[in-house]
Amino acid sequence: MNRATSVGQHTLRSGWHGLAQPGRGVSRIPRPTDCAGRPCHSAAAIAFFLPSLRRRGRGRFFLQSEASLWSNPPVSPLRKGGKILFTFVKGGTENAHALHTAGSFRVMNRFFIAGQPCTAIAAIILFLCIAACDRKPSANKTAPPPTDAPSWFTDITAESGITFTHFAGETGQYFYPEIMGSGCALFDYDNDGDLDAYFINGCPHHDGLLAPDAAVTNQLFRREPDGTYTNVTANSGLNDTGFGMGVAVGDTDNDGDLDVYVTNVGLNIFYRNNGDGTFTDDTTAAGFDDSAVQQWSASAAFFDFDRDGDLDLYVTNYLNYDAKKSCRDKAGAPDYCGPLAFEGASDRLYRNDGDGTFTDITDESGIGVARGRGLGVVCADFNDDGRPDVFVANDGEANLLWIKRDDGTFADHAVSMGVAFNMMGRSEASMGIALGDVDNDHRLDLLCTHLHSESNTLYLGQGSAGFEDATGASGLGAASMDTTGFGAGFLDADHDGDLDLFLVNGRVKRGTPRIADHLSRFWQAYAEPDLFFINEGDAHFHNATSQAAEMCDKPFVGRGLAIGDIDRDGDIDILVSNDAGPAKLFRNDTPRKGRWLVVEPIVAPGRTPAIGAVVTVTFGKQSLRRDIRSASSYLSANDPAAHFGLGDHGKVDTIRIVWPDGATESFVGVAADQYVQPIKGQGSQAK
Amino acid sequence: MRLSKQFQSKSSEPRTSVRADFPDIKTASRHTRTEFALNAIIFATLVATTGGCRPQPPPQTTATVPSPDTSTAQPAVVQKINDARQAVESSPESAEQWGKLGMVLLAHGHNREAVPAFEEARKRAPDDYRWPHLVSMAYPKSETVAIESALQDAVRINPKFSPSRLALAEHLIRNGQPDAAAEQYTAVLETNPKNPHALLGLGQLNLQKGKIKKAYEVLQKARVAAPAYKEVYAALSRACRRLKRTEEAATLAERAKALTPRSHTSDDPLIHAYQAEAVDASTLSQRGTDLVAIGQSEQGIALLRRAAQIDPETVSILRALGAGLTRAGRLDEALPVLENARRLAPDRPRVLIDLGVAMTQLNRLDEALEIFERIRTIDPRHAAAWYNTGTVLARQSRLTDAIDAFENYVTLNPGDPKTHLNLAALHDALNQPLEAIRQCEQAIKYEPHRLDGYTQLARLHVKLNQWPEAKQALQQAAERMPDNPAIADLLDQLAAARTAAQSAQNPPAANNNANRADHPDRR
Repeated sequence: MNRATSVGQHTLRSGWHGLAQPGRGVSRIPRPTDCAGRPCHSAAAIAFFLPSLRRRGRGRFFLQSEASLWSNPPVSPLRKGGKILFTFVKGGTENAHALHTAGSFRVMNRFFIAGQPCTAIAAIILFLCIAACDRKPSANKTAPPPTDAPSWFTDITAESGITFTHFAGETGQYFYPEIMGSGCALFDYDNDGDLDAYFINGCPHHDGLLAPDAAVTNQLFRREPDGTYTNVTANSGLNDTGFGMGVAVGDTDNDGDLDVYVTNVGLNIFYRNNGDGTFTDDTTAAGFDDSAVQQWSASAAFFDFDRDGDLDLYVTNYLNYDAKKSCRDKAGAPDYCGPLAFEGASDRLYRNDGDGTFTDITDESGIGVARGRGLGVVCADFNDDGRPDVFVANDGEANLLWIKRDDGTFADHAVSMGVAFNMMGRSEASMGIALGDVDNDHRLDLLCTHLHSESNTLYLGQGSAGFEDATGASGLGAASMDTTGFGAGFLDADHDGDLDLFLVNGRVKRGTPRIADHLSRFWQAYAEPDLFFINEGDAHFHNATSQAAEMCDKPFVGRGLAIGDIDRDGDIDILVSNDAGPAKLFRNDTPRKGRWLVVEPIVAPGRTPAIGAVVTVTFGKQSLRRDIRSASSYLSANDPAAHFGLGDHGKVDTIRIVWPDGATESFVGVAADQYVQPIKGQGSQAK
Repeated sequence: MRLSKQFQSKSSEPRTSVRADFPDIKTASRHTRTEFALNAIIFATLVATTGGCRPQPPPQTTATVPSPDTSTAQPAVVQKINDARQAVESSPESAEQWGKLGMVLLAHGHNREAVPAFEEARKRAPDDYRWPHLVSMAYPKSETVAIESALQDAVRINPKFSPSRLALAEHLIRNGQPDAAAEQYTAVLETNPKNPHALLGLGQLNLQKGKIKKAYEVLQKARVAAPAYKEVYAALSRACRRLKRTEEAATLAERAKALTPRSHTSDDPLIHAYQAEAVDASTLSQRGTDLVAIGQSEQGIALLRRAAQIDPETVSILRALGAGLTRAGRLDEALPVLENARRLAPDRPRVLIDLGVAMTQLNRLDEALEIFERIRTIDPRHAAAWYNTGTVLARQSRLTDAIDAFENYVTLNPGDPKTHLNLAALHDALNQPLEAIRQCEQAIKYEPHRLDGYTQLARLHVKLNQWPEAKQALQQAAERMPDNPAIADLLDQLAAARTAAQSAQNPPAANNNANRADHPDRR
């Protein structure tokens, strides 16, 4: 038997007759060794090419070991695991400065003792000179918050009556779902014209087994006319007791009210809206029963992938969790596992059959071929072919971009379209997603939130050519390197016509505990402050966290984020769900740089929100694009309305809508500062 | 006196008041003059030693030895850190000891405490590039100025140490300075024109600037330099898409997905050095696995055994040890370790895979097959289980079943050339050379710089008496791998084989065609 000589995989050589030595590989053709280094045309060499001289059917087989196929990619220890710091005081510099100071005072004393005022003055000057020279440039510090200026976002949680606190159920056993948190939703469940709030909750567990408790449920809060919220969970039917993760909202039966899909660690639940403020668990009847393949699902999105007028559903599955597996940090202390400790899972695609039922078409659609560790999902037309596609944020591996093909199936084009990896070609721990046109070029741009030591990544859309990683140029790179991002949302906070960015942060590995008295000692080690960025135009962002201090300063283990205009005053407010902490509601009080318009395209007869529609408003020489989308961020559902900051413009000239089925209509312009609801079929046809 | 004039002119006090209090040198008493002179000397000395307003290095004072919180750490880690701290306390002047402490702290996740240790080492050995390089890894990533300064320092001290330049380039990209990053990559290439990381970086930067053709050229060089570099294939795929070569883009994307990632940090000896200080079980396990993977089996197994002693109930460590022993051919030792892992986690596919591999190596093929089938029952989409099933079936001469298994693997995990080569061999064995050729071509498509694809293809062509095609396959290999001396040998061998075959058989051309027409694949 010939020896394989190169290093590589486990190798079976010479067909199926025996194993090569492990660690030996393939690819070098054996050469006769008796030819003193010269090319040798001996019979042995000739035999290689002449089948008549070889036994037929010889080949090479590579036995693939787990290590070679599924082993975790080599990562820098700085990127994974262990204790990683957030704030750092330059102790060395400060010490040095203190020594300089002490030394200078001694010099001064000497001069004064000598009774020489002139030398004393000289010493003062010398001291000042040394003190000035010793200053080192501070590293990338943001300006301190203006103490007298009000925060651009005001915490109105307490006054609003939202009392939800997420239950993670930490037992010290580091049950992985504990650290992943849950999502939230802003949607009008009772059709009274304002946004209600829904929170997904964890559940008690022990030894890796869930122990649901009727007292620990998801919670629904109804917005009252006076702006407060009332907990209406008990009568709503939305009180699932599973270990909840995410929520998707959409009118699946086109009856004008919004249905809800809740993802869990285990069975997911579909709630049909009864139209009277209550919901019915319709999971089995609707065809969503996944009890046979119970998985850990994360984000979900309703979208009309086949453009037949009803909403289909995409569900991301995270990984095949084994609670018996334990993990440790770099110092050997127990901590939560990372995603690569487990195998990924296939996502699911359900087709709405139009009769109140759904069919699982995961395999026939092509979605089933890929397995990933999906956490976030957004649906939109990413390659400008008019068909809806799906982007999935995978944790610790290549993201997926499912492009819809002519035959109705999907194919993953994430690598060639430049969104699978970051600019350096590296997989990142993608979790949350923000989607919007940040450079106002009418192409969608994507932002994925990541682990600390990885920046969040901004992919600028280039149309059918794909995306370019513009993180460095955008100013978002270094600013997010020391936080772990989850929820993310683009919103035009100041109405200047470009999309700003809010990021919800919280660690997944233990770090230096934050000063956060509102959290237990355990969770302080995972808490982080949030971040807010103002778009300065052309997709360059300025860190404005200090201006939004009330929203960002207090560290939590942030996870879900939903945005919407809760008080219908024309600006976008923010709802945050924190892992093992209280939910937070922030009112947008950002000084306005302009006027606004909110467009809510609807489809008659049910007045169903046109999820997937693209709205373009034109005013003067400007035009802006916003999409009608609920699912984005992390595990959360936003109000899908299209919000436009118009700058100084008092009206828009036209509103152009590309409906989910591809039809395009134009509507006449309207005055600024109002909500408008264009109805499909009532506009004029447009190209 | 000049000094006094200077002093007066720079004083913020009104000149008159200064004059009023300042003694006139000419009229001062002898005692006053002496004291004034003394003060002037002291003052001048001070100015000279401080150097005016130039930035000064901090004085050679000893920093406090960092003391991280080790309350939850494993005893071995605590011991390691304490030893490193004591070494510093014994030799506080030693940059090496400070640096070692920094490395130990960094290896165990105490980055914050590692910073002052490295900075102290840097201060005491300002010409040692290791400390600025390592401190750049310990700083929080938001400390962009400090990181850049440290990396610039490392580059200045040792301009030929490419990991510092590569890290600096990446840092600059992240902070929106692509042109400065390109300079670093170019500098690396001046030293080593085939550095794949620098070529990749330059390619990425060209892609970002919209210089797509240039990017493609550079990335092709990177591909030749490192044929299994996932990130290069991903970037090439993007370039092809931008060049509207969609089919090529799709092929490259599939290949990228099938490869494991490789970072420039994997070639950084300083990272390996600090990682070697780690003594926690999981890091020992990881390092042991890495060593086994690069062929240093004995050292790797020793580390894995240490890890298993620290953490005897952790399945992943037992699995790593078992796999390492298997790879080293120590199957009798591997089997009980893997069986123990299976006892702790009976349905964990990764454990079962390694156990199956060990069984296969022991030629216990039926048991191996059973294990791989068990994995597929747990997870029908487990690609590795399909692959290994194919391998075992092939060894059992169940060739058609093996083809099915490998086909399933390809469906789940496209872009893997070696699976296509396996399929080629199986089809060849089943006397289906045309299908075998197709599989070889698939393998070459996914990895054009892999020699065995061409040689297998050439051999298949020879089998069909297609000598020109065989030569063409090897010539194609030569074009794509001009630096590979083996190809010229192979071409010589092929020519010799052809001569031998012709002299032995002297087949007429018509027969060739007839053979081809009669071939089962043709029919």
